[in-house]
Amino acid sequence: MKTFFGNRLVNAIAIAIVAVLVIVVLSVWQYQRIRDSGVIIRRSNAFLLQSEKVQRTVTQFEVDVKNYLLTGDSSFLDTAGRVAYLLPGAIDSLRLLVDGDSEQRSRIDSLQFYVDGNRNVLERAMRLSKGGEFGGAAMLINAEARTGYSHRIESAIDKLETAQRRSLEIRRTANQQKAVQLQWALWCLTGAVVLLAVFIFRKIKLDLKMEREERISTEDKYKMLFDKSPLAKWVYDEETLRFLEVNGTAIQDYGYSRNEFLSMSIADIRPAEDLDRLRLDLESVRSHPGSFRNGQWRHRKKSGEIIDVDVVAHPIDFEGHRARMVVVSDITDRRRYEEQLHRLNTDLAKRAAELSASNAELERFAYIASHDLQEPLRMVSSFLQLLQKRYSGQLDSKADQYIHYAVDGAERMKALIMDLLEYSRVGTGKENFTPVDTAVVIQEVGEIFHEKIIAARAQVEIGRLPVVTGDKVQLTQLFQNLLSNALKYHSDKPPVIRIGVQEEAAHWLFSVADNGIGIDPQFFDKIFIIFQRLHNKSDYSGTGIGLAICKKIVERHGGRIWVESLPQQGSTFYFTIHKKE
Amino acid sequence: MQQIHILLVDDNEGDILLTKEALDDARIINRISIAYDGVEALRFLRKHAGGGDMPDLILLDINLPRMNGTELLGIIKTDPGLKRIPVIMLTTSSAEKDILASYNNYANCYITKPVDLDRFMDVVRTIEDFWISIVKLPKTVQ
Repeated sequence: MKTFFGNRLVNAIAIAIVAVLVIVVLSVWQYQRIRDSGVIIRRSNAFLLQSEKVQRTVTQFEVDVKNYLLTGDSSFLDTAGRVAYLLPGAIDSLRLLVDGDSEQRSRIDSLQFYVDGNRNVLERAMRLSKGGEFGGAAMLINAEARTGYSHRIESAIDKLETAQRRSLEIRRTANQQKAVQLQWALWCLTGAVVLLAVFIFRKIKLDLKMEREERISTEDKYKMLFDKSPLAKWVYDEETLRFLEVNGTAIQDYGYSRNEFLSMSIADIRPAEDLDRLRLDLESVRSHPGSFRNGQWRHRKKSGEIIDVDVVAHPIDFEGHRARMVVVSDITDRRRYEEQLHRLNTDLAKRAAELSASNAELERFAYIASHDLQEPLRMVSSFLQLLQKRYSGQLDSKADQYIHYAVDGAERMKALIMDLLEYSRVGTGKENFTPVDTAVVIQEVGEIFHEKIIAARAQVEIGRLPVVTGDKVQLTQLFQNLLSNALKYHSDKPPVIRIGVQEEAAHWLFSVADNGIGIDPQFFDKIFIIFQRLHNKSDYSGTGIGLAICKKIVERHGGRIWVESLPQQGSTFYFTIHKKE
Repeated sequence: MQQIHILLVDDNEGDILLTKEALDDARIINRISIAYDGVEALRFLRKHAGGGDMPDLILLDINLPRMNGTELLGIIKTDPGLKRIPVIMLTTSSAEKDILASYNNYANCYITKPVDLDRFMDVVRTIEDFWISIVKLPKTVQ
């Protein structure tokens, strides 16, 4: 915009300068022309005077010759001789004055011819008269009057003068026209220059005004940016620490008026206990002039309220003071949230530690309980067996029955305790993780169940199995429990068990499928819970811990275990083992 | 036939009785001394040290009052007068740390008491059979 206007202004000034130059050139030219036409007019006048002089001289000569002829007075001859002598020069002067005009020149040549002719006649008449032949002289004069040299001279001069006057007139008219045109051109140009001058003047005035307005609006804008900033801002003198300027936000936030602020120093808005720190900081500022500072402080409002603030200060020159511009953000809330968050995190960490401690406690408890329970159980079961062995048949049949139930109960309790012990031994650590070939694990488990497999006429199909990272003992137990279940919960058909694996992105998906009695979907989750049994112990023996142990082992290996099943058609247990575990 | 002297260190009367029952059935005539804790057992051993009444075999439980089995084992196996007596750890514990601590203290063997009565009887008889009849031990007379 500015360049555009600027260009127009430059153009206008250029045009004005050109116009003034044109005016000057035209004026000079016109002056020249006027001067030239003055010369021409003077020459024309001189020509007319000269032609008159020629006329007069011719007439004088003629009169003198005629007077001599009439009177015989020889003094007339002298005069005539002088006049005749002057004639050629007068005509030459006339010729000089016509310059390059060929028409006038040919007229002058004719005049010369007539003058010479006239002179010859008069001189011959004079010579005749001198010789006494007055009759011959009179005849010549009369003949001359007939041939009319005098008239011809008169008419030639007349023509010369007329032509001279006409040409002068034509030239004058032309000059006048040109002068008028020139006058107009000058007026137009002058008008244009005046208009341009007006335009330039107005333009400059407008530009100045706009510039001033722009400056004012820029100042307003920056003042507004300072004043209406969402952050409190101020400027303080680095020497006196006095406030030099504060913005509206500071006034609003801190409760001091502008004048109050300007009468205070930055130490006045600090809590007393922070003044030492402020002093130290200011010393460091003085030893590093020009440094940019950023820090967290506490400020006191007029109301006495203390707020936590984040302060950024950088050096500026302000109205001749070495000063610092300070931007303050209130971080009281943020600080509070941070503290809350910190408290929450601490609580959470404490809870987690408590939970982990309580988990460890629980496992220790389960281990100790099951371990220590064995001691009295062994007593109960051993002495019952001893009783059965030594005194069977010596008591009545009822006593034998009591002993039988007591022995049976003790047996079951023993199984429970052993399983519980096993369950509690599946820790959460990963200390025994090594690469484990699951094909080898299955082979070993198969050997354990060899007799059972033969007895049940079961068919076990095993796919290609991978090497995984895990605890070999626990993985063996996992497969052992699953295979044991598959063999145990068979239907009346011979069991068919398929063990397979599928490789997925992050883990191995193992499956152990059977064609047994299946599980009702409503129990899919329940079976993995410790001591949850679906069957009467007289149908299928077991403690209800096997799958709970499986779940614990799988979870320890970063995996998941679940079952898909249809009652009477078989179950498929799936579990995943994390590849990177 | 030479009478065998066994020192049974156990605080459980039931276990003592069962062990006795098992040994009663044994082929070899034996004599059993009982100590109910480590301190008592050590006092017994020190009393008879160098004498003719030193036990031929020690059956040692781990969980004992006052001085436990592994502590007593450590003392026996570092005592020049006692360390040649075979010590069989016979305990309910099957914890790895107990097994390791026992062998590290030169236990001669470690046996977990079977929960089943018949198996327990078998184990006791096997101990007797192995350590008394099969194994050749040095003469006890100094």
